[in-house]
Amino acid sequence: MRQRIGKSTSLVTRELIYQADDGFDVEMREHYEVVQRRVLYDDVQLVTYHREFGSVYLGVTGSVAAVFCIPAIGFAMLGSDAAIGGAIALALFGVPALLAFLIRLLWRVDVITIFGRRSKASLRFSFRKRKARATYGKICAIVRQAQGRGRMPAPPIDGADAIASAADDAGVS
Amino acid sequence: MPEPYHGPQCPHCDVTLSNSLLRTGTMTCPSCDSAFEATVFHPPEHRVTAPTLVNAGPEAGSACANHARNVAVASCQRCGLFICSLCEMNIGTGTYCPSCFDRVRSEGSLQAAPTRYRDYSTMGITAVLAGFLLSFMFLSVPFGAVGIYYAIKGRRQRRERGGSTVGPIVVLIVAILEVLGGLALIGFLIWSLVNTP
Repeated sequence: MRQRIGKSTSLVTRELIYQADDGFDVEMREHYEVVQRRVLYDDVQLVTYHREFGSVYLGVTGSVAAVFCIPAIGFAMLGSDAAIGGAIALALFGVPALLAFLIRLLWRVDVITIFGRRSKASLRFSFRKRKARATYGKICAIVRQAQGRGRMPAPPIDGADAIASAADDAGVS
Repeated sequence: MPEPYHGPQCPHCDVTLSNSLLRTGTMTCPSCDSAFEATVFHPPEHRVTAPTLVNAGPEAGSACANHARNVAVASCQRCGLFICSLCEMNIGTGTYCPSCFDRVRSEGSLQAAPTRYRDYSTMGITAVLAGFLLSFMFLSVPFGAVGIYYAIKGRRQRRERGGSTVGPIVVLIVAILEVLGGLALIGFLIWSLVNTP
């Protein structure tokens, strides 16, 4: 049974990250398709934690805010009833974008990235910073525990075992 | 097209970091000078050793088609090639050689290892939203019907994959309401036309 531990959303894709038995399952949703990949606990080489603004997000929300809010301020300064109505209509689109821009500027986004030998997974936390920190600790603990188990001597592979016993039976050393 | 992955990178600028640079604690990327917190792990090396003909002797069997020095432990169920334990791709439903595994995987005929599939629940949500937005053109009935179809498929898909079925059920209920609403609207219009003096 797997448990969802986080997500990473961009303009075009949405990734959900699950904690599974032997690794982190990543489900990337592109339009109407889901692409699955996995970062095995035994493959993890580096886990990072950092805080960033997200330049694309800031660029998009800032542009939308500027496109709608600057004309809205201009209309509002004209003072007539029609101009005020136009300013309100423009502000309806501009203010949410401005709020999103300012919130991201103040809060930033916490990013945890898990780098494996062959693949990587990324988790983004916009608001819940404490949960981000707890998840980082949990991921490191899971990987440490799994890799600690992996250092125990592994049993020989089945094929080799069978051939070795056959060779013993035949008296070949 | 995603760029090929070559191991640990700087989380800011995506430049590949060599193993000698990695250390636990606060790290600074040599390329972009950005700082980030890092925990380094040293995963165990996976060493698979295949028995060789020299050690096993001629009675052990045939040589692997790809590794002449290794003993073949199986044959590919698609092409019949003798393969050693290094080449053996056992996926539970059968054993393949690497080239046949790549072929059947790219053809999509390997049911045990699908990594890309359609998300019917999202398709159902889109159909329901389209029906709602185009309801003024009386298109909520066909789009609602499509939504019902995809919601049922999505529910089955989620159940098979062990996920939550709440989303597809909500889509199904909304799609049914959309179809009923569309039919009621059409019925009301017909009734109005018939009863107009």
